Amino acid sequence: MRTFLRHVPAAAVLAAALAYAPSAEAKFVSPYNHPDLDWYSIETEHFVVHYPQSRVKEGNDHYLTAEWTAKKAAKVSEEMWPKMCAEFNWFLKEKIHIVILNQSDELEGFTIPSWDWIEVSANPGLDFYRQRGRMDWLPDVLVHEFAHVVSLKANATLSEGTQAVSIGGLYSDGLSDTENGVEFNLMDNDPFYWTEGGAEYWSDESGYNWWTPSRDMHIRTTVLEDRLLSYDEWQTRAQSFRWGDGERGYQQGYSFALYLRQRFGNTTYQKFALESNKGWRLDWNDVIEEVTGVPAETLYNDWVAYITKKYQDQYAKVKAEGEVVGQEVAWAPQAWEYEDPAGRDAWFDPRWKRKSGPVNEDTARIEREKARERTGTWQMVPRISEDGGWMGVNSRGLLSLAKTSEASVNAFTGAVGSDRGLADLRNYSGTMIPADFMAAWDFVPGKDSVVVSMAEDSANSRLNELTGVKPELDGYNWKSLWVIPIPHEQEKDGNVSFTGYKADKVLGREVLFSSKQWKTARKIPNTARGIEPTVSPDGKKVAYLEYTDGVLNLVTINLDGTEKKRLTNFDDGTWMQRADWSPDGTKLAVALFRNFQQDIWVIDAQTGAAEPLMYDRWEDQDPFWAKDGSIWFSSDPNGIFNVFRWDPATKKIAQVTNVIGGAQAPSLTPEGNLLYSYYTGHGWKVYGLAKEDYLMKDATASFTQDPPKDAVQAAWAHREDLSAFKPRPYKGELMAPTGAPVIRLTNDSRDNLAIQAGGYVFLQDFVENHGGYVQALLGEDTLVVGQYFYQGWYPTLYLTAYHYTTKFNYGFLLDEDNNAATTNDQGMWQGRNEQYANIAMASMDYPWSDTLRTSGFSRYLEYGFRTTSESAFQPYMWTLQSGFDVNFTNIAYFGSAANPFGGRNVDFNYTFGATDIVFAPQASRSVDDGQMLDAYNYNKVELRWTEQALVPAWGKVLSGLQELRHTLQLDAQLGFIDRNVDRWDEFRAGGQHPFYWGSDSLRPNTMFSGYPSNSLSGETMAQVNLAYRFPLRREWNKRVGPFYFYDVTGQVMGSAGNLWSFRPPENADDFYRNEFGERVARNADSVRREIPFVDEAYKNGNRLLYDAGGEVRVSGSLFNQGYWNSFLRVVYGFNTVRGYGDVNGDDVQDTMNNAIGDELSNEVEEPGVRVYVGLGTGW
Amino acid sequence: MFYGRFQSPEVHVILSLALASWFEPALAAGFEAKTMRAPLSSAEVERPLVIGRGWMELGLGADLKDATGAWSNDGDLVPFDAARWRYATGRVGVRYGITRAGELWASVPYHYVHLTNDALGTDTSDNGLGDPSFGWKFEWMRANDASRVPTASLVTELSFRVPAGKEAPGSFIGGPNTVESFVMSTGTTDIDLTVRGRKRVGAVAVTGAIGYNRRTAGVTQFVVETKNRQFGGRFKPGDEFHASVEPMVQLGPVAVGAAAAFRHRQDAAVGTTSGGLLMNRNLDTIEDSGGLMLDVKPALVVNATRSLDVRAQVGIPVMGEGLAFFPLETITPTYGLTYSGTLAFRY
Repeated sequence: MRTFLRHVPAAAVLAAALAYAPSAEAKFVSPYNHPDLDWYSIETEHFVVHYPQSRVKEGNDHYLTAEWTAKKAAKVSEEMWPKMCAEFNWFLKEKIHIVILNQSDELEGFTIPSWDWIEVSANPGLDFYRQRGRMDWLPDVLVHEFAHVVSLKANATLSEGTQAVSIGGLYSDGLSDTENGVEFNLMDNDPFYWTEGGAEYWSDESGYNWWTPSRDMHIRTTVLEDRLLSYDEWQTRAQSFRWGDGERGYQQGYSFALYLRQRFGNTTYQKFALESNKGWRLDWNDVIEEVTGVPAETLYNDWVAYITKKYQDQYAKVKAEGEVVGQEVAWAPQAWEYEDPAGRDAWFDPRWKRKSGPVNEDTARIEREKARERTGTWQMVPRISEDGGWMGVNSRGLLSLAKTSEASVNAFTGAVGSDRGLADLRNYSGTMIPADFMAAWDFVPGKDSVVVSMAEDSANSRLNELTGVKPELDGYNWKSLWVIPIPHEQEKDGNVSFTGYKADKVLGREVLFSSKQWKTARKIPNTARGIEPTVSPDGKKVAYLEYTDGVLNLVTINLDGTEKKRLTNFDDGTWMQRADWSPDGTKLAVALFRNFQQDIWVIDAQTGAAEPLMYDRWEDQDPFWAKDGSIWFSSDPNGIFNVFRWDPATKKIAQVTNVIGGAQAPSLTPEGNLLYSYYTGHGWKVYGLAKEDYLMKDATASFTQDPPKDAVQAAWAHREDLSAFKPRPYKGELMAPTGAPVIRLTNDSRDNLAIQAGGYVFLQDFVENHGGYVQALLGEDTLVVGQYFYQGWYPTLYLTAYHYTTKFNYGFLLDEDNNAATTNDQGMWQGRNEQYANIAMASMDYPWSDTLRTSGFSRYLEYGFRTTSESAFQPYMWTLQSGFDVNFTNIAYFGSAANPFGGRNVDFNYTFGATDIVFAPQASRSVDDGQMLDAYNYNKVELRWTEQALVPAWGKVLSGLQELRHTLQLDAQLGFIDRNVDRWDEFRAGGQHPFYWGSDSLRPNTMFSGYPSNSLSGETMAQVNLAYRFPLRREWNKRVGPFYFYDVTGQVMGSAGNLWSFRPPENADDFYRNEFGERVARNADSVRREIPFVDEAYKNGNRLLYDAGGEVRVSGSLFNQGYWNSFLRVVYGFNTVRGYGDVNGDDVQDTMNNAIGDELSNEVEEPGVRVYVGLGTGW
Repeated sequence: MFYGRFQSPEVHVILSLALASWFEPALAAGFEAKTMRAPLSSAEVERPLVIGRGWMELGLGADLKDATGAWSNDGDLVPFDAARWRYATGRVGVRYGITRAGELWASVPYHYVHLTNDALGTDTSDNGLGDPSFGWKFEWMRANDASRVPTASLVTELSFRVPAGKEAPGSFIGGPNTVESFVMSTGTTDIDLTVRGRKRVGAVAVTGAIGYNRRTAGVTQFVVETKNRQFGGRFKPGDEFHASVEPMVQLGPVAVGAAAAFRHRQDAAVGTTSGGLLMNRNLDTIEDSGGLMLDVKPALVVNATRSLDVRAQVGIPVMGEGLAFFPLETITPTYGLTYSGTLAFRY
């Protein structure tokens, strides 16, 4: 029997797909490996701290070490261990490994408790303290992460080696043309608010953390501006992606813990963990009622009522004193700044903004929040240049500059955007310069230039503009200081003249700061890891903060990079923020944090002599040294950050603002008005306060200005002795192995439902140099995959092995006279065979940038089968393939969400293959497309391009749709094989269910989903799928049992194209038929390659194929942790297709001679609807 | 060769220790005991019927059966005249305590069979993967004594046996009754539900179990389709009711016990697949293919450490019926003593 070869079970194809390219593994916090680093370890009783150090120091621009940080971490960790373990009565037997990172300037701090693994950066990043408050980064982050370790271990109901239990199944029915998949990951379901808020609270209980004014500012504004996460929303990390919601999860959870402490005692939050540990619950929140006797949602409501009253009372007090806040610097009137009842009613009307379609209070609230966020959310360090000509602010990492005058700033004039001409002018005058997120910057006096801190590799290149690729060759991109002329020019639009900025166009699109403009920018030499620049009054020097190994020092340098002078020489974790020059350029004021105290210090710019401006327990920060010698700063003596003024003559301190949010980062205009960053429930905003409105309330008594000099000097000179902590070379210790049991229920045919069980285990060493995993599924279909990877060299190296077997049932329609018209001689016969695939692969993967990666691979693939009559597997073919893959992806954050709305994914693959048909019963040959094949070589290239773009804003309607994120998606796939190959080497196409193929909208699963999986094949492929996607329900945020539904997205799509192959000779003289009835060309040259788009594809009977359909996607999460994304797809395939074997999907192969008169099946798949359902499988 | 490898526990002890010492420097971190790991006694009789959270057990076992006869359909013992049937199984098993009360386990067998017949002058052997089993145990009840050592444990166990094993009988030149190789799989899936309990008093524990094994039907490679005398047909082994009891006494690190295992097998059925959702309508019952079976299994367990057990056992058939599905010992076992040895390494 020969026809079994025509059956196309998923096994071998699946195997090939899985092994197609190396997986893009990367270290947890960096896509780049750093073989230039050695690793060392410091071992204590309960911890092992690992840290990196550059192998080469001399001449190394990126020399780094984290030895001090590691020693400090070792000390802090041992100190906190007994306190934290005692909170839960959970004293760890296992050692916890802490990996200190210093390769980048980014903030990192996370743990995977079951791996006994904490990773923290030596550098806390820039503005972390603004949300969390004054703190010593290392103890704060370590105790937070260690709180996770202890609490989640104490809370866990699953064994620590188990990440989840994955249960899923897929049932495919070829008669009804449906594929129904479902997948659940059962896991511990601790909620977001308890996990993160708890870590903050338990740190508090251990004495390392406290409810700071910054935290209070966050929750206060959240409450007063009605932005609390709801009871549903605060359960899961996937709750919302609006501004500040992530941080709200932390702070609401912390605040709730403090409330429960007050009501039930200080161990209440801890008891939840121990109660949870007793057994798994469908809803973790049940433990709250078991511990407190009150349902969780009732307690949530009680807490909301409590803090609402608290903050309303506080606001009433501020109002009673006289609120002095000024107003937001905005260029146009804002809807929420209503001045009469009609304006208020309009703002709170549910149909505000949304003129049609479904409207409800939730939707209206979200729209109002978005409108308020639209004026800016991360706006820090607003300044007006000394000559008053430029005004700028760092807005989300873009320095936004405008040519202006104080007279045009509404906040100073009181004109609330009433001057429409002025507002229009503002629309012309924006200039954007890249800058470090939330970082300080400064004007260069007398010049239209600024100094900013930015990544050293920031400069835009022509290559990047053309391709979107910015190569990162050494894996380092530290911050540095740059001098950048403000790009501007005089322009005219009709009758309006303005100073503006014309963005360069590259390939028809505007580039924000083009390579041409970058040529005017200059990196200041010798300023590696420099941040927070401030330019001296004479414009010659810049003072900044220089980072290394967990510490900051104050440095001055000439703008050309000469005469670098370090004014402080701390090596003990001292932290600083914001510096500013005195008007005479002889001194610097800087906020300095050490020994758990933050004050403003004045430091001599020549000698480095330092003395504190004040020495107290407030968080004094953001000094601005005014022309008159006064120092303006932000502080919190009454629990709210306000702006204060220190008078040099009287040494009196006056409170300037009186706000309910938070006033920080003050600066004065040339006219003496105040600009500052104001914290609201909708982000950091630029606020202005006219000098006439200053509060100027004497607050001198709130600050300590003359501390004992001896105590101050002793504290300044103090250095912690960490010499007891001795490093040793890193030994390559392995983490605890973890994995997940996996249970699968799938079918190969309608009467063959097979269960598989097994799991995977993952293991790596603590600094992630070596790692690997094994996955095994046992059952009627058996899968074993193993992979080792090595990340100790620039490319990541992989060794992969794969073994798969599958048993499948089939049926044959037997017809004794081979005449379909006579049915009394027909009979059914059923059978069962087994297939296998073995793959061994070596590959390497290298990321050239955050968008471009390449990989090379070489793999051996063997495929064969075992029929009833064979006691052992018979290999059918083996293939040796080598090639490379280039992948470009710039689909932005949430790229795998239901509606990615920008960017592209491009895959190019080249493979050289050498195949040998070795099937002994066929004399080691096969017939494909009429050609006898034995051993052959081939070249195969494939290009897949997926483009995502918002609909163009053409006209009012499309503009509105763009605002609602209606998206177009183009997915094109081209492929070419340079000769006729066996069907197992050909391209394949047809519908895909993500259960097998993976959920990833970067590579959509919708291409030709109107046709059966793998039903199309050939050596030439050209297919395209166009989709239009539109949100049906955005930010649904609804929790139902353990499920949380975030949004609903609709999509309509269609495919066109085909796969063409080679065609057997049709002239009877040119072929003969073998014993299986197949046509075999007498001369291989008579097997003709089909011409794409011209020829009808011989195998499927069509010149072009088409399908069209629709899809609904529901994104959500399950058990508060992992994503649980679902979809329903209905697609109509317009064409009748033919092919081999069981074409119509009824599991019976018709072996009768057919009308075509060749070896193709007698069956066809008629045009019709195919339905795909995936619950939790992705889309 | 196969026999020797798997019948020598000493070899495995040495091998395990050698592997452990080789991995020690690097594995120390990853495999150290964790706080969440459940307490577990070193003594066999003091252990509950689930392994306990955080524990993983790797079991290497082997069975050897030299059959000397078979059971007739009437339950009579029929000694082999000239035949000798050796059925050996190597087994790798894993137990994992996934929650306080839950345990996942899996077992993968590999068979070696050898059939000789002096009268016919035949000597045939084969080997291949058998049918793996996996299951989930949940402990509903546990009682402890004053020392927090379990005195009673009651579990429910849901398990599956899946047909991954070799079921192709090989070339059948001369008809389906003459094949070149032995099948190692029924080709069908079992679903078993068992309730198991253990009661301990001092050093004596009694473990009892009662369960039902639902054997599903499926197309198998070895069933003969009679019309065209081709392989390929639908087969349903008979469902089984089973029960066992095993008293055991602990003497220091050694435990001695003996189990009595009873099985009642229902008749099997065979035929073709019918259309629609109910695919077994065409199956015909094979009369007298069921029967009763009783085995006695004395065992010796050495609890070398809490992390290492050695178990030796002899299976003695007392009662049986039928040999319709030779060589599928899981359905119709032959008559003969079965010697078993298992090394359990636990961490």
